[in-house]
Amino acid sequence: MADRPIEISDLYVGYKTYRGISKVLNGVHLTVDAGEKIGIIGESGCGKTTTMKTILQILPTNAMIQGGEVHFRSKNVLRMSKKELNELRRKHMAMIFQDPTAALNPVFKIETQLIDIIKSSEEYEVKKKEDFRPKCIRLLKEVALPDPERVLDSYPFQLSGGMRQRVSLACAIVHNPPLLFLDEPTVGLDPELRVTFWEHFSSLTDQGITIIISSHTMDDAAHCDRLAFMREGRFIAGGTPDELRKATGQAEATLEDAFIYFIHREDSRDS
Amino acid sequence: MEKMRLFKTIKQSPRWEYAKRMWYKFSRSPLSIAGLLISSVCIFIGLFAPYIVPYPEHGGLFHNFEDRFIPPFQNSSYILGTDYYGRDVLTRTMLGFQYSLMMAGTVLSLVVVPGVILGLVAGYHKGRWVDTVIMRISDVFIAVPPLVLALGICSVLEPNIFNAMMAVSLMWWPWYARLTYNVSSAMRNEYFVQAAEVMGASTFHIIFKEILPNCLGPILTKVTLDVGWVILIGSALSFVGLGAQPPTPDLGTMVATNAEKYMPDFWWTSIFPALGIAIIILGFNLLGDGVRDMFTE
Repeated sequence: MADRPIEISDLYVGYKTYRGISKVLNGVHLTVDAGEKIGIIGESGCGKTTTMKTILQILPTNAMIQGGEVHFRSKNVLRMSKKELNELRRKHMAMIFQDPTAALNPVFKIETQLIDIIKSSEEYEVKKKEDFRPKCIRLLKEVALPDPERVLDSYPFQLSGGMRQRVSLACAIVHNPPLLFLDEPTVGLDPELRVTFWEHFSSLTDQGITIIISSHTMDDAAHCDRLAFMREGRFIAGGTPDELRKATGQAEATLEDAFIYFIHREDSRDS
Repeated sequence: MEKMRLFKTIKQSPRWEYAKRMWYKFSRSPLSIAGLLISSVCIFIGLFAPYIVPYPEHGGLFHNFEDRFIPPFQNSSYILGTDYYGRDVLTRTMLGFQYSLMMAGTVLSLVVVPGVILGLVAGYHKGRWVDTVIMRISDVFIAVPPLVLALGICSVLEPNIFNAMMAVSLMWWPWYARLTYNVSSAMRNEYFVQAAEVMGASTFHIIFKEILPNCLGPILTKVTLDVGWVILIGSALSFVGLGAQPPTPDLGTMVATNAEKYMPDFWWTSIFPALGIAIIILGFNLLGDGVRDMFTE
């Protein structure tokens, strides 16, 4: 399919450390279809975040891409010039980071930060700060933030963790990116907010947006259309949650059982 | 009800709230307040010295030998006494504040901007060749102590206050590059910088709008503390005769020329300018400590 949002083949990524190169991704294959919620599930340190960072090309400077290809709509992301890459990030991709507190610049008001993003994403004629306010408020309402007026006038440290998380989601959907990366989006949220978040993600995929989620909790996994289990830098199994459950051969297997089953299978294959 | 009131106070003005928090952290230490007072008095004297001193004409080639060497606190018209030429010591010390602060202001305004920009660029490109080039050049400059180079330059070129300022500036920027480099290279991997990158922001935007505002705290602290250091180096240059030349009422020059000829008998001619230097430096150092407290938790 020519216009698949993401197609990763045979990706190897390592980090240069003082002990030599530590391999993080060892031959990752992944295809993502438009409009689906795909969950990358694995324990911490298995390369979920690295995979996302490789696609967006925001790896730290000591990382090395040792082989493989990442295609976005059949264009190789890894060979793009800085200009093409910025264009791609501005129009087609967005990401929410693990720690929502750190993802907002601590010295600017929420309004200032939102306006900066709006300005970068669209052609605008109006220049006054007040002219952006309706759009900012609409964005914050879209992510179900109560009292958007107050939030706009606040600094990040004046908001709670859940609010900051929702603000960074609002930042991410400013320019309606067709591809959204969520790095452990529900960590540190209370159950009620979690439900709201997932409802919101579903409504986004209904609009045709593709979402890639990384997580290590099976609660999150159950919400995804398709899952990819990851272990030590490789995908060990993929499929819909139901398929994965059935693959264990047990009638009443949970996703957790499925994950453990695949890990054991992988380990026994290695030895 | 309680919740509503909380909403309202924050809603009033978050900027005001922020300023209040900063002031609270600053004012916790009485020494910072003292520093603020001393340095604002110094700046006031520096700005308006020609208008508030009792004898403005005593700043230059003035002489009135009838009134020479009047001891301090004895004659109501010359509170701090007079020197060999009958010039008022108080007037000349206050005018000396003007020269000292002018020197500090000029050096720091020449030094901070290029130093900070180079540090930011190097910090953002940490690990790449830009970083290596900028930081190794700054290492070369850091290797030479500022006072020694200033001595060299001022003795080869004409010794005056302008050359002294240029020499000190040339040696001072690497410290700002260093400081900013350390802060910004740590900031480089913060999530909000990566978030800006993901949004497709330009390098210019990331360096100057995301990273720079977060480095301002340490930079401002260093600027405040450096005011004292630059004045000290300027006075040291004048003291060895390579800075401002007499009859310029520079504090260092006054201390040097008077100490050499008239010390212990007519002590007030050099002790009061020396006290002036000490007060400026003390004031700005206390203020600098307060500013540092303000930006740390």
